[in-house]
Amino acid sequence: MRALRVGLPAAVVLAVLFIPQAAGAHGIGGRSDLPVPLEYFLVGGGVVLLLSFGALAVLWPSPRLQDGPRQRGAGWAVPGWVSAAAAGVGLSGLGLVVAAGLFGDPSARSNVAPVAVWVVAWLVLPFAAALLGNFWSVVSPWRTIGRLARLDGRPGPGFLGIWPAAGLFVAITWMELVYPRSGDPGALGAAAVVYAALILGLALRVGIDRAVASSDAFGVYHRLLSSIAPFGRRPDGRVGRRGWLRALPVLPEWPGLAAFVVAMIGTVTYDGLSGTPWWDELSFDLVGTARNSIWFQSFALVTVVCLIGAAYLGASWWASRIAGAGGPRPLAVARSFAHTLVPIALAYAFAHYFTLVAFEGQLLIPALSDPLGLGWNLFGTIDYQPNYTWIPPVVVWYIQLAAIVGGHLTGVLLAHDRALARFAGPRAVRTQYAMLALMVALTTLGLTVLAAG
Amino acid sequence: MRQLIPAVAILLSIAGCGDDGGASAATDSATTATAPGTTAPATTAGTATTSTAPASTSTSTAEDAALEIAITVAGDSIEVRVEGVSATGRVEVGVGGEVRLTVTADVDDEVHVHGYDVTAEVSPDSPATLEFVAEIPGIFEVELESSHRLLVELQVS
Repeated sequence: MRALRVGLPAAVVLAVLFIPQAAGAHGIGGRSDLPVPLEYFLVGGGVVLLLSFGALAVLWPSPRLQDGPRQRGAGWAVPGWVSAAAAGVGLSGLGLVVAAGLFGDPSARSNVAPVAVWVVAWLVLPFAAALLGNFWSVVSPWRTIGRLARLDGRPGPGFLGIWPAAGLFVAITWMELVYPRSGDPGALGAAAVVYAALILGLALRVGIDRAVASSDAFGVYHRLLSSIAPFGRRPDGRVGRRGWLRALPVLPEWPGLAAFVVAMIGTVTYDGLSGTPWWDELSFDLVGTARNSIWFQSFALVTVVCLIGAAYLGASWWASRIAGAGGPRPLAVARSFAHTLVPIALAYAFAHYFTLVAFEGQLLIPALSDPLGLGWNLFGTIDYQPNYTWIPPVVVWYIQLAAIVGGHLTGVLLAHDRALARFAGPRAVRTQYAMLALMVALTTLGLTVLAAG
Repeated sequence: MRQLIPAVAILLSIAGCGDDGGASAATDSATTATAPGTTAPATTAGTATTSTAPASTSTSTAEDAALEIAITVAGDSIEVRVEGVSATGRVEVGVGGEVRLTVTADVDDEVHVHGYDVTAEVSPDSPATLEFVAEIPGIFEVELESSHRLLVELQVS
């Protein structure tokens, strides 16, 4: 078992070291959205500035969101068979990806694994979590396996916080955006096995709860996004309404929380930037090729994440300076405002990827009829052709702008509320200038990337 | 608050004349191209001066004439010609325009137009020819499928 735990990741790392040059990989598809036209971009930017400064003038003068979920109604005791069914769905999903990936048709177009991983697991489920709550905590296949195997241990992420999950989040994004065989079913099946082995191997040492809380990128991603949702589990175990955003300000300030949120924003930014003609020119000037250098792309992915992190630390340092000698230190500010970036991160991801769900997601319809590429037609949908025109480009642009502006505004509101709670007196409002500046910068960057696409 | 309004007004007024920036960058190769039924090829710097009503831009004079894109792969170099004129970066195609893509390569591989999912085999002694009508708006990669090499990007708008 120990040899397996070390051997599998090592084999993957070695395999990666010897892969050839890469072209632009997007996990699935190869279609991207048309650039947002300049006038849409400028109107979006103007609205963002107006809303931001308007917000400062009219927002509430004392904290309103810091007291956690507001329990409304009697809630709903989830029956055991529902949880069991959800766990069964999660296990079947993992089984399907592994079986189809390793033993199915090796062509990405007649195998269910690529769309199941890159559209359903990586986009649809997290987006749904922001609406419906943290259903992943019962769906998660590794958690189910760990529970069945009675790998008990302490709860909570432990002294490393969620740093391991932040690292794995970047690794998964690397596989999606940089790894040239990201759409290859075999590679995805193997990756799913390696990922499950990593989490369960860790669970053997620290128990499944701590393994998942500290290291499962999917679990942490769902936990963060689901804090936006108006539904959640109550202390008594019942599920019920709690009000939008109420769970975000009371997210535990684990070590690595800011890193995870920065990774969410940075990876989407990299994806947007690396698809622009400007980036192709930069890449060509630096390494002599536009999209064929896996080393340059890997380096650039990490660099963009680090730059977003540096900007966030800079804003935290500035807020700490405004607060003065008695106020929190910069790193404490960074931890305590990290949750305010979650809506922005969701907005970035949604603006970039909702067309992937709406268009390439339709590939699931034929793929489910013949998941292994064996010539089956289980549901009679094998000949379904995806409709790539049902959302006109103009509507796509409006949705992208609405997402970015909405995410920005939500972030500003959350930061305002947290500043009132953390910084005393008249300085509280002024400490917001730092986070406001950061958010305007991030939103402008997000819009720029959409417009330069 | 009050000081902001002029600032936004200035921003918005820039929007009116901002279109020239993108268009002028494209002129050096675009002026020589005579792509019937489609827009001209853009250079790498061409930042999309996209029309907001792409579906109605059938300005074609000769309906049967397709946009000819010829790609030559030799060793590490990839050369793209649009209507015989050398092009770099994205090739712009009008929605509904016909495209004829010819790929000559010194390797055995499969040419794949993503999104449209049009494919054709290519080998050193037989070039691949792909013809399709560009009905889906968006940006599409044309790749050599097994070696994952990007040949060109088509911007259909």
